[in-house]
Amino acid sequence: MIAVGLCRAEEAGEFDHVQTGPLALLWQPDGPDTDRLDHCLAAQEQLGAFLPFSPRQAPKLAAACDWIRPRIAALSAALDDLAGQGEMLVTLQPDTTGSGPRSCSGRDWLRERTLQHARLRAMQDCLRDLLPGAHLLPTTPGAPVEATVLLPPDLMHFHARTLHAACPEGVDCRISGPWPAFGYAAALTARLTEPT
Amino acid sequence: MPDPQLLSPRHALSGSDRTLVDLVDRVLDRGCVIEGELWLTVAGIDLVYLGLKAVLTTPDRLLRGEA
Repeated sequence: MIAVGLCRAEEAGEFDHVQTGPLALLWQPDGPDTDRLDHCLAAQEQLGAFLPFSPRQAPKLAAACDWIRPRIAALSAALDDLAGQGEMLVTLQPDTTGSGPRSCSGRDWLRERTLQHARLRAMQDCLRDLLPGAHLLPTTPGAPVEATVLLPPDLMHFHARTLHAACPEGVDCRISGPWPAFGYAAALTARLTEPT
Repeated sequence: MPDPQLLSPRHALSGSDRTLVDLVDRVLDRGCVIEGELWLTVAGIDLVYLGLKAVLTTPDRLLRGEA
């Protein structure tokens, strides 16, 4: 049995789960990570608050119970933070359609690289301005700027429209959600887990 | 009616938008570190199993240039 994520015990309902104090640990039989991802999406859609494990690195049920027991207070607080919220994923990248041939001289290459750095900073600033709570994922010049942000699902439509409208010319904007809070959960578990 | 400016997760995972699928992949890949702690602290069978999993995972990440 593989752990899928955590919710409040009173909300677990028909999901297969084991109770640990005020928390319910959802599980499913061992299987492909796509099944666990489906399970996470269903839990996100149906539960008031859901803290997912990574579908690709989910622990076995017994191991997850051992990890949860000494951290119940912190995990309960995390579920309070997640109540009524999901994660929105945002990607900004230069729209390269219609661009000319790549430069080949050294000077032009350096100039292009400088421009890429400037574009990257501009896109990051744009995202920070539009979504102050967004967590920017590590990136490199020339690669897309990616971010996750926790929001109530109803607000995501509003923010998606705002982001699309404010997106600078020549920048492609892609947005999806509400996702289970994978980014939030990864940061939280890293914070709660200290190597011994 | 679906919002064309906000893709639903299930639509994003359908594979119609490669960039989005790549982003979801990266978010999922970040994962959690529960197993890392178990590998370090739990003795017995779990240690062997999780240690073996770590060994199998690391070369894969190296090949993907994430190290």
